[in-house]
Amino acid sequence: MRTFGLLVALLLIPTFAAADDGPSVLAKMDESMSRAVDQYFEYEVVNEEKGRDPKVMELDVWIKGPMRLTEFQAPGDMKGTKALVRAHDQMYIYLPAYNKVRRVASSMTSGGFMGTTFSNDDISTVLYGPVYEGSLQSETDTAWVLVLTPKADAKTAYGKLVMTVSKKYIQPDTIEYFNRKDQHVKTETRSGYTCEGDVCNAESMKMVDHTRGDASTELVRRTWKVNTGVGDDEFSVRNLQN
Amino acid sequence: MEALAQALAKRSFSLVLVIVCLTITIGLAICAVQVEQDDDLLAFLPDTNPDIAFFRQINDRFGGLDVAIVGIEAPELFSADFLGRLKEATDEANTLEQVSYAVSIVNVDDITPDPEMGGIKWAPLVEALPNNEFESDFLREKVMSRDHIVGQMVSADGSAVILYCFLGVESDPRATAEAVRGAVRKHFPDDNVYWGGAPFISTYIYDAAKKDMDRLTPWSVVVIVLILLVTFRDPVGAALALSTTGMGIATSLGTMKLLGIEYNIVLSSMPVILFAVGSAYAIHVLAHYYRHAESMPPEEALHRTIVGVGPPVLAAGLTTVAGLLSFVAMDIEPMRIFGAFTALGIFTTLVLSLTFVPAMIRLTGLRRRTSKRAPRVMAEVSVVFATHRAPTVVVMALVALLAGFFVTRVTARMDNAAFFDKGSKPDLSERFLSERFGGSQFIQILAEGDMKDPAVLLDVQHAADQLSLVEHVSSTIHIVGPLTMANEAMEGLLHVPDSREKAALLLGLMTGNKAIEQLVDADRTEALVQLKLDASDADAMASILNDVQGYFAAREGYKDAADVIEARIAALARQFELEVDPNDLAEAVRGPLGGADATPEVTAGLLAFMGTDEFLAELPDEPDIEARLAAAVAALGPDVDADGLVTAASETLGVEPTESVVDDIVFSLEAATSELWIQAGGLAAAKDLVQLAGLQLGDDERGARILHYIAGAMTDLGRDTPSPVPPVRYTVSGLPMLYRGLEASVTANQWRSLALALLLVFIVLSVVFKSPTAGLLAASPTFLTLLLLYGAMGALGVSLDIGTSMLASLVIGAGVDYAVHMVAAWRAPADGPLSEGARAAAEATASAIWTNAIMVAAGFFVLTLGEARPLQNVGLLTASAMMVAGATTFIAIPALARKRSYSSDAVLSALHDHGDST
Repeated sequence: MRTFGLLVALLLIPTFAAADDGPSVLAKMDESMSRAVDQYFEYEVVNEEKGRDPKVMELDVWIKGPMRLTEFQAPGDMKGTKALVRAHDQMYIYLPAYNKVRRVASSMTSGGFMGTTFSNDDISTVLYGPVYEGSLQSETDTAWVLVLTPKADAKTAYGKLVMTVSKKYIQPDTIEYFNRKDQHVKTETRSGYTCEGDVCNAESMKMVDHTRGDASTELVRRTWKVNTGVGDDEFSVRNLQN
Repeated sequence: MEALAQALAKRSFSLVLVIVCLTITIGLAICAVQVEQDDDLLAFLPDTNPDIAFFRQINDRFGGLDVAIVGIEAPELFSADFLGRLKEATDEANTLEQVSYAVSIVNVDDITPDPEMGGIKWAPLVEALPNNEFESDFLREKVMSRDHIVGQMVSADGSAVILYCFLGVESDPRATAEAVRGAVRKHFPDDNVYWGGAPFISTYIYDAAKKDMDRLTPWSVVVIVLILLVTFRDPVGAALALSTTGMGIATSLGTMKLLGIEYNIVLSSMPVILFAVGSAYAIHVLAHYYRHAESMPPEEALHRTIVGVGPPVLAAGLTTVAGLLSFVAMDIEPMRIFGAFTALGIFTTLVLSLTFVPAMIRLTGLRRRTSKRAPRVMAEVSVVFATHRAPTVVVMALVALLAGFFVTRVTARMDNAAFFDKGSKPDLSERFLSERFGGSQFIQILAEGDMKDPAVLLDVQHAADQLSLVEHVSSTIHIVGPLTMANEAMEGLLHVPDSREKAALLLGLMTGNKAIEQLVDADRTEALVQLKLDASDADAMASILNDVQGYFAAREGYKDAADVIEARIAALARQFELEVDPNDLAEAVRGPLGGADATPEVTAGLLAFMGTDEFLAELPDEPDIEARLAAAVAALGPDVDADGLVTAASETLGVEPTESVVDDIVFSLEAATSELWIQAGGLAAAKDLVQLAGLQLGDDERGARILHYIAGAMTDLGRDTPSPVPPVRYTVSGLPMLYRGLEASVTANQWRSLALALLLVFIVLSVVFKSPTAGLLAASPTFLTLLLLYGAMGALGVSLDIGTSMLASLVIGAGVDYAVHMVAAWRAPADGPLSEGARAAAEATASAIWTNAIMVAAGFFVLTLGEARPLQNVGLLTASAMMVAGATTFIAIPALARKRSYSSDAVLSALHDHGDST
């Protein structure tokens, strides 16, 4: 179920700048990522693992504020399944085969959803400022390199993130995830940024899990719409059955 | 041989020969040190056997051999300290490059109903480490109430846990085992930790054998060299003889490198074989040379040696090569490689003994005095048997008959004991898993069918439930278990999803779960049913296997839901150790059940549901509105539909049916009400069944859980059964089938290699002695030795396994040498008794034969001092067989030889006429 959340992570974008220290860059990035009122995406999700055939899923995603609605289009067995996230640990899923909505309270579960390399932690972290302290490690003409360490009271599986933030889009190009033992466990790459007005978003988000033989999950954006005017009703539990 | 002797007489030829031999050997030695190791134990599983091929196929597909199992004893399992360390170890295992997923109770997911908020709660089973005794007790109660976890991840007595580490694709089992061991030991340095699963066990077996070989081979060689020095009393000659074996090893390994063939564990025994057997050829050459050189010039002594001893040495060497080449008839690739390249080593040693060694003699002019004590003793012994031919033959025949009787008792038998001893690490691990987790051995059953079809899933469940009643089956694991739990999470019904769409959806949601991938394939057309066995010895497993195969041979499948339920309840009774009479159960399941009115339970359930977040309607603020609505909906009965709900809701609320609140009520309650009726019906039926079948569940929480499981089964009562039930094809596999396949393979290999070895040896001997009869005579001591060897195995209960199946060819190859020399040297004077032939042959050969027999025996006996079980058997039996082969040579040949000689005059003259008194 975590994938539904992960889709959010990719969606919030934007830009602007101020003083170039760690906290300020982090703040600018979070602002940039939450600039749109609402967004709509169609994604192709490709999951690859050594020695296995790639698995492909197709998802439609609507995002508005903290809410997100995901609908499976493929594979066929999952088609029509919807997930509505209204809060960090509260999700409603609609299962067409059961013709019912089920509330799922999910927290800190292990492993990736349907074999993806995105963990619950990756997905639930939409904004980084509330979870991490940022410090500026280095800077070039095109990017800042931030080192993010968890805040004292933050619940996160990681001990450190090293994030390269594009100065052009004020959003991450790469995120290297380190565990509590400072081992580099995952690398996320966001590429192909495009912008609608001041809202920018990556065409591709790829997470490589180095602890699983470099298994990877890539979300490839097929369609993207910004500020569509979608109403809050679309994010209601009642609407899931429609 | 004459031409060779003449060529070697030329010093220049000898010099060139030595230089060429050394140059080639040095080149091959450089290649030899670069030969790569193949430590894949699975290479020992022959693909030609269908059972073994199927076992490998299944495990390749489902990854059954790709799980490292770490068992940890935990006196204080639910303490923060232990769980904290377990979490650290689990997390660390998850970071290992070789491990794709590691799971234990600290990170396994737990899905439970959320009675307050509605829906399900999906969280780790251990959400937080306990801070005090109260929290520890609470956690213990929670974990131990998860029946699918108990016995799989935590022992039933709560004193041990298991950490499962699933290997990544193409991860090396050895590297994974070492990495997991390191990760776990870091956090459990002083705890009792047990290492199970294929990666650990195969690594142990390989390492134990390799460690033994690495440790014992040098000692074995030292023993051989010492015996050679003591008996031969010629350091230079011994060094020369041993150098040929060294060159043989270099040639063999160098050729392997050049051909791109990897070195395997069986080849570790090659140095022992070459030093023990291969050095004999040079020893024979040197011994005869020394005896000749005592009475004639070195050049003439060398000439007579080559002409005289050349043919029998060549014959002896070729028979050994033939014996080893017979391994190529086996269906185990490492054994074929072992046979081929050890034969090459022996052949090289043989050639060098007849070329390089004489050339060195020619260049250095070696000579020394010889002893005749042993030949004279053996000569007298041989004469006794030759002069008492009839009784000797009778006794030999009786011994052969007796041995033959015991040979019939030799059977192939493969189980863990064939690979490791009691008290070894894998044995301790097996015992730990058996005692704490109900067993460590699994029978795997491949079920082929449409796994999205509920009828097929019911068939799988039905078969698994019935098989759980087979003696020694402690539990069953299959896809239907997690599927029913997932279905319960979605609709509250603990049973197989009742539609194809539901099953497909749930299976889709489980995609990527490593534990699930071990139970069903990606196409959902094949599933694996695992039967955990609480026995591991060969007899018990064979018996279980027969029972399981017999079950499928007689199985007709289920005919209706009652059959499925009956099997389910019987399996639950077995799981929870409840007494139940099968006839009572069969009758109860088909009797009137669930007749009680379930309306009160449904009303209560609806009322509870309305208090959760899953109930979306905003009811008016009226007294008892929820209770009234619940009662009205419940009154609609089990066949509730949307129209009925609209009426009930609008009338209860006093609003128009078109009001949105009515719509919300219908949306929220339609599926829920139907599920509640089914749940209540199942529970009522379960209570009736418990009473009718006389099940004693107990009034505690455990009893409530069992009743819950029975109620889940009873919800299938009204389920339609398609006719006919879609076909499901079951094929039995697993470790017991692997062992059965290995037994067949070992037996077949034994006969194939034995037959080929005997045929090749007979041909070589018949050609060398120019007579099939003489060939049979020379082979007779080996026949007798083989009979005694296998008779002893039968009498002592030693079974055929991969190691002992090598014995026959080894014994034929090495043991027949003695008879070759004896027969070749047989010369009875035309006017004297035949027994003089025995005396002459024994005097000419006994020293070398016994020296070699003792060397081989000692060399192999050293291998019994190791830890690896296969090496112990091979070492002891080969050592014994070589001594027997030596003895039978001096008994059978004198007793059976009927001619005055079997070699040409030139050979006999060169062998016997040393210019001294003999």
